[in-house]
Amino acid sequence: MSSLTANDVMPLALQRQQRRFLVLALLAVLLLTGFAVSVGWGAVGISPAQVFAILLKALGLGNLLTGDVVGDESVWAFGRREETVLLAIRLPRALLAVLVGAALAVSGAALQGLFRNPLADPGLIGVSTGAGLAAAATIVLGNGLASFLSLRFGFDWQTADALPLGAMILPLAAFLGGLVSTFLVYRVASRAGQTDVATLLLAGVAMNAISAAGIGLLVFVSDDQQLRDLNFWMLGSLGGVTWAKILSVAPFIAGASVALALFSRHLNALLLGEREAQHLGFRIEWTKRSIVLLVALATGASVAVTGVIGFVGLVVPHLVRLTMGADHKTLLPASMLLGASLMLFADLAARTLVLPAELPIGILTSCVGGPFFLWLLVRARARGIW
Amino acid sequence: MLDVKNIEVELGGTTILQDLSLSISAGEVVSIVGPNGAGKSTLFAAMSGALQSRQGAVELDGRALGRWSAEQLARKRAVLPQHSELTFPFRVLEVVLLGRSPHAGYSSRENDLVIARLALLETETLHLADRLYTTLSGGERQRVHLARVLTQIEFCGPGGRDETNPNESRDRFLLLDEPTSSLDPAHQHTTLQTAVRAAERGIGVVAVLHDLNLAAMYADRIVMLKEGRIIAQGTAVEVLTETLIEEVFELPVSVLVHPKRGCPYVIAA
Repeated sequence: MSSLTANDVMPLALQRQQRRFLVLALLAVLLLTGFAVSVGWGAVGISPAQVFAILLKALGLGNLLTGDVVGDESVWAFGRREETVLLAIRLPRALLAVLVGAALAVSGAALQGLFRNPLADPGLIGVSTGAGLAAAATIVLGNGLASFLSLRFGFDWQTADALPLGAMILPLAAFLGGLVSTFLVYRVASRAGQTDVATLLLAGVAMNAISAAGIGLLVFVSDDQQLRDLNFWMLGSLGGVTWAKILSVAPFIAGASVALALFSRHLNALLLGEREAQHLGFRIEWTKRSIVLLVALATGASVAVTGVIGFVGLVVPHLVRLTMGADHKTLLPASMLLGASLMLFADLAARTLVLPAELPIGILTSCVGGPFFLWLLVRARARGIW
Repeated sequence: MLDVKNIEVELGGTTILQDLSLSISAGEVVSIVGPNGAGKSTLFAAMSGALQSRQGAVELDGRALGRWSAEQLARKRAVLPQHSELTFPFRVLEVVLLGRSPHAGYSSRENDLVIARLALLETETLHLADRLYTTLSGGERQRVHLARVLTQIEFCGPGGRDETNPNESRDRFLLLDEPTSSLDPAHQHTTLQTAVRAAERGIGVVAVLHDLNLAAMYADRIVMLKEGRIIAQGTAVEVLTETLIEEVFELPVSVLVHPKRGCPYVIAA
């Protein structure tokens, strides 16, 4: 048995603190690198220097780079083509990848803490598919409802002045869908303050099946255009994103993700059990409800723009825990950074692997995440965790 | 003062506790004993505030538990559960520092670490500080949680009046639910010696114990429960008699005198 001298606790804490900052800094560098590669790579190559110059110009600070620096031979020089591709296509897409990757990863980490089980994931327990069903229903039935409303009441949410409402309806529906299915699964799996994990995952399976059936039904009644839109949903993709779309969901995704990261102390205590967390002075019911709500908001809003992208919420927190341990003070921010980075790289692969076509990113993440999940199950069983 | 006032608890239609009253003062070790199903766990849950009674109240410093904010309450009383659900890879030091959660904003990181270190020393778990909790044995885990709850109520901290609120006492209470259940004999004793030291520092300790001899050796007062009522309470000599034990536990026993300590020593007849 190794023995520490009495004063070894202080350096121990300090050492872990330093390690935490180091890992967070490395992940931040990874994210920046991923971002630069992602916006620069493609049919039109854009160098990081050009990206920088274009961004400066877009922010109205273009005159900072003057004189020889912007000569045609300069590394900073860029053409109209680079500018358009970056600002209209690559940049919104990369930003969306960052938002969605961070949101899904931090949602997964928070759910795993809340359920005290490392196998929880927004996709597995039905949050994502519930949101997907609601979004699909909005796509297929929304136009019919809209024209009904405008005929009946002269109300038209798709006219110009009502546009903000129109843009909000899809994320809102997805959020509500996610919330309802989370709530149902949670209620089924919880009894007397204890959440039974096997029941939770089974309820998630049932919820996924119900949502899949609902989506199938919607596919059956939809027309060609709606079918294409729906297909996009079920596979998940970051393609075709516009600034308007991003702006309509960014506040929800970013706000909910950051808010989740503020629950690190609560989640740490919850890992001891709900009663123990209460004895430690946390308002448990309020905490649980807030976390479920924020996860539904972050995941629902993400699903609203990208469709269902599975397993990010499962894989990312695991990778962080393997290296950094379970402390949510590190886990939550690190998951956000790593989730955003992984999503950037996954999207890069999705749009460059099978040129000129584009792989749906949801297929890609499931190809990697599915086997990873199986490996986790085998490992958890071997260790007798459940 | 931790006061249980005429509480009555019913679970699933069965009355578990009937009109039960009990008072714990700061600085004493009280052991709750009784056969299975006597209501020990229910009483413990009610005293910790985890369970609402249908009638009566549990009061701390004259105020019902429900009227304390969770965080205030957590600074005044800590609860050691029988077992914990923790299955995530925390370091032992991180687990112990969780005990400082209710002091966030009131205590510096250095202060937290000093208190945590003393608690680790007290429970003989300092050498485990950097180990992963999930790799510990059952007994080691139980001692780590003891260190956590000691850290929570500042085992080594000052007692007396609360300077920020002179009307409020700084009485603290430690509730231990079968704290020795997975410990080897040596650590069963060191754990209860820790409880006694806590009491010497002004902390009121309540321990649910199955081992009557441990209760006899370390408790200032023994409360004996049967069928949701207090059958007897008092010192070990008063409560641990052959007739009472036989009546409550339905087990014929002989009560001897401990050769070194002079307290009662119970063996099955």
